[in-house]
Amino acid sequence: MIVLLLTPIVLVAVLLCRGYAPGPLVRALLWRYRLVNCLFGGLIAVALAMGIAVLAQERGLREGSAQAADGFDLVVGTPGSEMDLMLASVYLQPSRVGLLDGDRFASIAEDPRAELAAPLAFGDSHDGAPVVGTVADFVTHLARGAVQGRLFANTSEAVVGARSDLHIGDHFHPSHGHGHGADHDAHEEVEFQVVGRLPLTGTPWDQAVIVPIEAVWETHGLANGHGAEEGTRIGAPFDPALFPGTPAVVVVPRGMGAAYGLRTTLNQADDMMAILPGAVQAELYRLMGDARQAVTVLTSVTQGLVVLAVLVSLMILSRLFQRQLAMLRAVGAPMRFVLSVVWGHAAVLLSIGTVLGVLLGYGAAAVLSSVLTARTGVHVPAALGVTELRLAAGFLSAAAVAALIPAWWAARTPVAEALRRN
Amino acid sequence: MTLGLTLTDLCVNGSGGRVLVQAADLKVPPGTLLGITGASGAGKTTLLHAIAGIVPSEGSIRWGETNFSKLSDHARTAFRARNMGMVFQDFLLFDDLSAHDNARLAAMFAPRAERAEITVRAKQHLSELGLTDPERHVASYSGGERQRVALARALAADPAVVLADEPTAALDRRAADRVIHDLVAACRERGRTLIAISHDTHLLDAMDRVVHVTDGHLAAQVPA
Repeated sequence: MIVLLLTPIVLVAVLLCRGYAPGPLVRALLWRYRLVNCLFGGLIAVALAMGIAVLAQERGLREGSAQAADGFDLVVGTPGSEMDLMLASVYLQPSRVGLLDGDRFASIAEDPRAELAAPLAFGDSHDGAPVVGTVADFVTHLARGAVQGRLFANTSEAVVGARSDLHIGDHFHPSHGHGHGADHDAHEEVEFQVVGRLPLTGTPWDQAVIVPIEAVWETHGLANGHGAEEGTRIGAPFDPALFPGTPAVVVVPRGMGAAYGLRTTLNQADDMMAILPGAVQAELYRLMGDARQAVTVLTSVTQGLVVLAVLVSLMILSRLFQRQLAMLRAVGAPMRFVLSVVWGHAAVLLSIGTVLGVLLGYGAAAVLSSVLTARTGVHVPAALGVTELRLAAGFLSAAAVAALIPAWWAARTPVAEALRRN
Repeated sequence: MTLGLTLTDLCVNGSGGRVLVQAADLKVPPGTLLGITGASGAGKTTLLHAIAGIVPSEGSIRWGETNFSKLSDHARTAFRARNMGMVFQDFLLFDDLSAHDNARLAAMFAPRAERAEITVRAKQHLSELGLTDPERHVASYSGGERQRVALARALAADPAVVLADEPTAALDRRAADRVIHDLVAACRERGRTLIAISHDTHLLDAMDRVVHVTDGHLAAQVPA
């Protein structure tokens, strides 16, 4: 496809330059007007880079968010916003979600279609990173069994994400709340020791500190889900009567069919909402797709305008060397040779601008990706794909074919008239 | 090969039908050095352009056996490439190319088989014209040197005719004399026909004949 898109420029080059050697004159024009040429090349590069960056970034965001939701087949919460529930559970963003009680959690956990039902608890943080309470089996699920160190075994132990600043053996006190409003002294009496580290998952959980859910409940003065007779045991099963509530339950179903079946069953209850984060994201992509289309149209218009401006400027610039072009005709150079010189100049500028545009676009996408990754924890890959290369190839070919117009205009100026100009 | 020129009832019209040049009869035998002089605006350059086939004209222009005025634009261009060398008042060189690249310009659009020959001849002419550093960019050359590069360019395709438009007007006396010497020698040695517009008496003195153009009309042909 890319080769096909480049065919017009190759065809024009072959048709114009076949049998001629315009290279030295093209180089001379490029050097003579180097500052203007640099400006034109830069304009072309920036115009193209915008389109490349938008495409690469949008794809990176899709891939990153899809990867982030990979371990979250089904999430259950109270009825409300599906987006809020997904943001809270998958992306660990503070959201307004209600709490499911112990009976509701038990009904989910006991469903034979659920292999694992992991309650989550939020509300605390450490050094800007969220402290999330859950069960050890979910940590194993997230880590795909590859935890460095070990899982937490009591309410004083924690496991950290791969990008956490904490290391195995570190002790820390959680802060109450998130961000600037976090209260660093509220849980001064609570201390955790890091005993394990998750492998890199490319999700916001890489920055999280994960503790037993019982520890979060106890820290906030709530029951811990277990009766006194259970001692210090942590993890499921929980006593529904002593279950303080959870904003989200991540369910690992026994297959996709089970996931859809569970969703249908749970959504029939008035006080529960089950979502498939993948489906919610698909809806989000659809909306993003519309936005992308709008941005793509805008960048395409910008590219078109820049190419038009550059081609018009080349027409004006060609007046500066019109006497040399007339001299070429006067000494016997065929019209096609003169066309090859003027078009060659434009084609080299466009080619350089396009290559720079691709590099600049990739650079911009890489910078944006790293900013997004740092801010959200979602690993947003920045890579050039076939779509971006197609855009560049199509842009180059279309602009190069359009460059025939100023070339023709410059070459067809009457020779005697041009020779007389000063 | 040598070529002579025969103009019959040549007429070049400007905008609004104004007659710019009219020449009832002019014969320039092969190998002749013809000077064209006259006041500014008299029509000298238009006459030269008509002779070169780069302005439309009526009447007949014959170069040797070729009825130049009957040729298509494409054929006239090809004829110029094969048979004519041109020298301009302000050289019209590419400043960012070397003297050699400027001189071998014709090789860039000549048939592949002739390129090497043109390139060698360009180098040889540069050397004969005393330009010993042909790879230097012409931007650093003096006016006289630049005009000699332009002369080498005109001669590189070994033309039968050289057309020169005020070739010494932009030069000081010393440089002009050197160019006149080189131009005349290059034409005499190879029996080339030279048609040169000039106000320079040194150049006109070196011509075989001089025609005077007044208000577009060729006046008495003055033997030099």
